[in-house]
Amino acid sequence: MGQGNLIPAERRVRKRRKARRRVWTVVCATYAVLLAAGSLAAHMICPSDARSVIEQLEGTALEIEQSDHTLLALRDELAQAAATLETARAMRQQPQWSHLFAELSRQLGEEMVLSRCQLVTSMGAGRTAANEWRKSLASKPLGAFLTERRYRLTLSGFGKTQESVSQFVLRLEGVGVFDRIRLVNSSRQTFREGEAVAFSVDCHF
Amino acid sequence: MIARLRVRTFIGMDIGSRTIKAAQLSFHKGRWRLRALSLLPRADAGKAFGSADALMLRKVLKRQGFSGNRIVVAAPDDALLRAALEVPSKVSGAPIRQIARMELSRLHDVPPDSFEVVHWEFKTPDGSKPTTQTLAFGCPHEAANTFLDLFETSGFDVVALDVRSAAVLRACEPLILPAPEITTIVDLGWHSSSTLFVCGASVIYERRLAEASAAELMGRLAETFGIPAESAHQVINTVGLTTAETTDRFDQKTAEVIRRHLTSHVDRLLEGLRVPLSYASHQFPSAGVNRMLLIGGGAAVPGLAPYMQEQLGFEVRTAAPSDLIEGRPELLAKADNPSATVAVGLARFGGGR
Repeated sequence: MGQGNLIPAERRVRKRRKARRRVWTVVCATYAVLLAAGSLAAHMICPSDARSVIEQLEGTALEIEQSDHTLLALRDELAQAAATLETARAMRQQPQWSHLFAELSRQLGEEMVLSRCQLVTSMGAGRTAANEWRKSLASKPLGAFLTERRYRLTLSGFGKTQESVSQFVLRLEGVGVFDRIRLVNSSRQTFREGEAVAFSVDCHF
Repeated sequence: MIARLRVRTFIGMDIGSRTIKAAQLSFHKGRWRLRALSLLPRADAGKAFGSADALMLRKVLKRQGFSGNRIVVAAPDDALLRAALEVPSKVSGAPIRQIARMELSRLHDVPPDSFEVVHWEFKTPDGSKPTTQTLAFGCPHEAANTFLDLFETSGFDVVALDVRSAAVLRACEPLILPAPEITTIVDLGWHSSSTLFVCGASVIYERRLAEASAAELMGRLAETFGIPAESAHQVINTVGLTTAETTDRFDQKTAEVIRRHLTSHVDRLLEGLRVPLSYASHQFPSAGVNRMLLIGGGAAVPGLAPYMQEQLGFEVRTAAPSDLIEGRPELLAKADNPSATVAVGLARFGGGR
């Protein structure tokens, strides 16, 4: 015992704190100086690095810009391709009219003759597609337009008898192409030197 | 340079009323070595230590071969609170330090948190007593701060404020008899003297000797011969108590008169010592006092130790720094002055680092 320090404890604590603060100040200052020196040295030793980074950045920016342009061009191409595809799809869904008319001629038989055959494209509710064409294509895609349209085939001609006309209508229904078949009128008329039954049929599909 | 600084101790600084003693040591391979020693006379001898003294010290120490500004000083003697206490043995788990603090507070009527405490415990070798004799010292914060500010405003870094007795004990360690034998150390200062009783590494008793101050003797001689007190001091240190022929600087008659004054002075000192010596003999009968060490400015008087040994009947010797540590010859010549012993003890504070 007897090894004691009579400096007031509070004073000793204050002194220790001051010393510690001084040490940390020196440490921090040294660290800052070393950091600055290291950074400077690195900059001096490898100056191209910084430059190359800038060049790389500029190059990348240019690449991004070019890619944007390419992307826009590709988008245009894609839009055109999509339109072509849609048109192709729409065209693929068009009826094979030659097949229809071939079938019609088969169904006529020996007792029926056609004087008029009219095919009308409608947009429903009695509106003809010819009137709606511009407006519809401007407001909706072609595919949608094609899906929406309906056809009306009006057949007019003469039958030998009333029965043959009725049989013709029944045969048409049996083809299975038409949604609805309506006999608009049938009347006995003079046909060449004899008599025949004139008729008119609307086929909707 | 860094290695050299690292092995050096703090600067031990003993502030006397007439001189300031400073010492710095080094510790290498288990041995202390004196590196720098200085005895600086004070400009205002006898006055309280002030900032002017501290500034002077700061300038001088650098020139004198001291390194660093970290110092250990002894607390002002007159500011210390002292108490010799009997406290429960440490084996009982009693908080000795707190007890010492409270006792000092009670005895000196000061708040218990207004001072710092240092204490020594001394157990009887046979462990027969359930109590421990404790010597406690307290230093009031106010006095300590005032004293420390004087140094720190002058650029010193005071690492420790030591008790003078502790420094004396550390310095004289090589000459202290092993326990249970008792060694007494007499510090012969200019204005006052004191005696310490030491057993092993513990101070067991301390007493101030009011009798026969050196200042009084110098005053008497100065009056008798009509010379300044400083000159009287030099005369005493030349003539001394040796029975051999004095140097031819003094005639035989003058030398006899001086010696008579000196003998009378020492006899009064011895008379003053008898009380503490008989107390120690009474208190520690098994061991007894077997050696006396003389330190302080008054111990440099030639022939003093042999004279006292003859009178007391046991070994008496001076304990100058040159008797205690090694050093370069030119430093040791300066260190042959027992007044610098306390400074050496202060430099050894905390193992010197």
